[in-house]
Amino acid sequence: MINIEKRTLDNGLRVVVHVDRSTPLAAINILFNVGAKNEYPDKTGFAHLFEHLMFGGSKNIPSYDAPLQRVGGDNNAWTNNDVTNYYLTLPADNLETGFWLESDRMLELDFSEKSLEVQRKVVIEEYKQRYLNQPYGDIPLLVGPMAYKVHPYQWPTIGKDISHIENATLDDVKEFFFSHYAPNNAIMVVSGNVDPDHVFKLADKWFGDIPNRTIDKKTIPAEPEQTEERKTSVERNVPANMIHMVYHIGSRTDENFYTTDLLSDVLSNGPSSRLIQSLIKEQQLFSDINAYISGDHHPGLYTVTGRLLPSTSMEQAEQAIHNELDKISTEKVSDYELQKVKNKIESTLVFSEINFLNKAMNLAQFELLDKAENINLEVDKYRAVSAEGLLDIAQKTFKATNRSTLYYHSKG
Amino acid sequence: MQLHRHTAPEFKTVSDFNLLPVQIFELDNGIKVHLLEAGSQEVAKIDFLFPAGSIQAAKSLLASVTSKAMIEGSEKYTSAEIAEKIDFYGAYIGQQTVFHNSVLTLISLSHFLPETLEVLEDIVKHPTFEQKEIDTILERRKQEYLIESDKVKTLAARAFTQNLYGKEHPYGNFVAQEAFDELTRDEIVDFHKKAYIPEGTHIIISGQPGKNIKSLLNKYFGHKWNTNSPLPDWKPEIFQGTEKEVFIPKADALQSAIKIGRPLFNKLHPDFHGIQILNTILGGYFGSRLMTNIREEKGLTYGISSFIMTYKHTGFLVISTDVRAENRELAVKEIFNEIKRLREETISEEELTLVRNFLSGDMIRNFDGPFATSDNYRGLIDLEIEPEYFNDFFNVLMRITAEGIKDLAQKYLQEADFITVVAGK
Repeated sequence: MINIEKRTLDNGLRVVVHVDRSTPLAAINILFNVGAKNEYPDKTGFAHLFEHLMFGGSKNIPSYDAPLQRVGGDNNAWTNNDVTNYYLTLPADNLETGFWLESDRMLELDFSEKSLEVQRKVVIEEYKQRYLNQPYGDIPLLVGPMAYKVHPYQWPTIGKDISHIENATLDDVKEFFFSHYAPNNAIMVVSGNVDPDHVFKLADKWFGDIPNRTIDKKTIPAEPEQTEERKTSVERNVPANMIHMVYHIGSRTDENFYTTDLLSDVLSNGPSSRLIQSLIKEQQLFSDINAYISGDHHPGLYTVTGRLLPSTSMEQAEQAIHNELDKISTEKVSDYELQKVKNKIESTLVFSEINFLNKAMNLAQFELLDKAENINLEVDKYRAVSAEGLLDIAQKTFKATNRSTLYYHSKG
Repeated sequence: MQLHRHTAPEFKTVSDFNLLPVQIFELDNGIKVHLLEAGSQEVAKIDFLFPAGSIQAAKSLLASVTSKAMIEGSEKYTSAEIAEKIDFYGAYIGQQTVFHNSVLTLISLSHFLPETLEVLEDIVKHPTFEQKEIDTILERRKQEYLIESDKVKTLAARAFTQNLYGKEHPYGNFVAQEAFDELTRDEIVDFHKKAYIPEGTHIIISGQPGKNIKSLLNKYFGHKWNTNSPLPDWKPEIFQGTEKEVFIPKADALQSAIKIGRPLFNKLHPDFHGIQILNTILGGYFGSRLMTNIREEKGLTYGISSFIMTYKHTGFLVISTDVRAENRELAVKEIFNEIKRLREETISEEELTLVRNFLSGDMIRNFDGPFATSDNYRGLIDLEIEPEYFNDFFNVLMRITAEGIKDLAQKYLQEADFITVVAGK
């Protein structure tokens, strides 16, 4: 059970506090409700570029990192399709330094041409390092546009085309900031060895006078239902063939989320799962295989991806995966197997409650989607999943017309 | 109330460092158990350190494949049954082979420890090592090896250690592709018998394993199930590579991986604590000299860092980064410039204070809770170092001076001692 207290400031900032006395540290996690899906198709990669710029100094504080390091703190951030999340940890005594730094960059960045120029270059190098200069690194760039024809999930967080980053101007950056970075578009979670009343006082003091802003609520087009099977084939200089299949599923807040999540666990969570036992160990077709769901805020994807052994043909590999998906769509999962994946989820949830920073990040997500208290309902929601439910979702999901397949051939 | 947004709030510096107490006891057969009992969740992590590392194995892949193959079938349970049981209890088994030992890790809800330890006992004492399972592991490992060989970062890292220690020395990390076809089941069975033994084995427990953990461990692991003595902890001559510059071409590379480093020493060296602080200033945190110059001022790379690696008998310092080919020369030049600045200029009190405060906060992070503490503590076992070692580091950190940093830089950051490896274009 994770205990929380929360308040909403007059400017709309939601503040959640979780006390964990087992640590001498504290965490501040600030989540902005803006991700790659909020970008315009001709200006992609902005949410992520922005994450970099948030470390380039703010209105009243020239450097973000040094003052935090000076009080023993550390920080980082990440961006995905839906949100941009900033977090820091520091000795709990120095909590106010975190409030000072975070509130100033929410108030206003120091928009500088120099910082933009440098971070453009850094992001371009990141693009190369992660997506272009790694074997299989370009898979996300290939799968997105195949599965999504309309919805912005078609482009990856780093951007659709590197020219969008190269051409980003300071005006673009300012506009993005003032239409997405605002107290009324953010969630702040403070966790660790803290006192809730003190946290609320600090929140008022440092964040209370930041004006709320008009958020760019552009309509994000819904992805129409897929009605035909999609396939793409590429050839690359890699040592082994890969196959990557995706099916459309519901969103994180869909009532079937928990069933869909367990449906991926039956296939590939843990060494006893079906894909590993059947396709790696018994049939010896793959050297690696995985099934997972995206958990996106808008309808997402169920992915099955595998790396083929040299003796396996692409057709064999595809057929073998289809056979497993057919099986789970026609035969009910046994009580034992269902119990096993539920046990695994329960222990994963217990492990996730060990670390105070991890709890802060999770609480921010729950507060954004509905309310932070829901974090404590997770176990019951997974426990309620039935074998009939799994069968139903499998049948609805694993249809050829709902599938996009990437055949990634080795040139060798 | 007037807010002073230009002025930093008051703060406290970390003035002391408290390590979780480590309780040490022995099982009936002499296995040494290190217990870090703490935490709010009923969860335990148990690491078994067997004297079964790649040094004891003295043959490529033997130690790591033995460790992987152990969980793929025992006398009582088939490979699939082991996987089923561990998953059903929501537990995890992990394996890691390092030079001087192999680590088998169990993470389990504490109330399932009797069940999960019972499975682990059969894995450790009676693995069957079926040929089919060995083949599967070798085939997967070979493919992973080939994929890794496609990354400039890996090519550079391999060339770096091979040049530092030579291909013959296990620290050189050299694996020939033929090794995947040459390993036999007999060698694995024999190595298991000689290395997965009570003598020389350590167990580290962290979390809340419950009051009866000692009797549980005695029940499953406290007997003399094998009376062999550990294999010799081979300490070969350390070959020093003579190539100062190594270039590994990869025509289709979009970036070049750079590794610049020098041989050092192990954790027992009197300068070890000091050089960790020097390394932090150079490239060990986000505000480091290298990050500031090469990423934040010049935008040449997504990341650059320097890092100290230690083994039982030696160690090295290495600076790593990935840059595009046309920036390679500039990046290398700037790396050596930063090294030179540390030798020639005295660090300002402001920067030294910042690094001191950052590192003391980092120590609290690295030792926050039983699991983080046990990961750090594990690194002391090889050399039988007392946990007091971490307090010593904290004391050095509090007292080191700007002059002391400069002396260390003059001693250990001489260009002539460094080798430069580039993979890519």
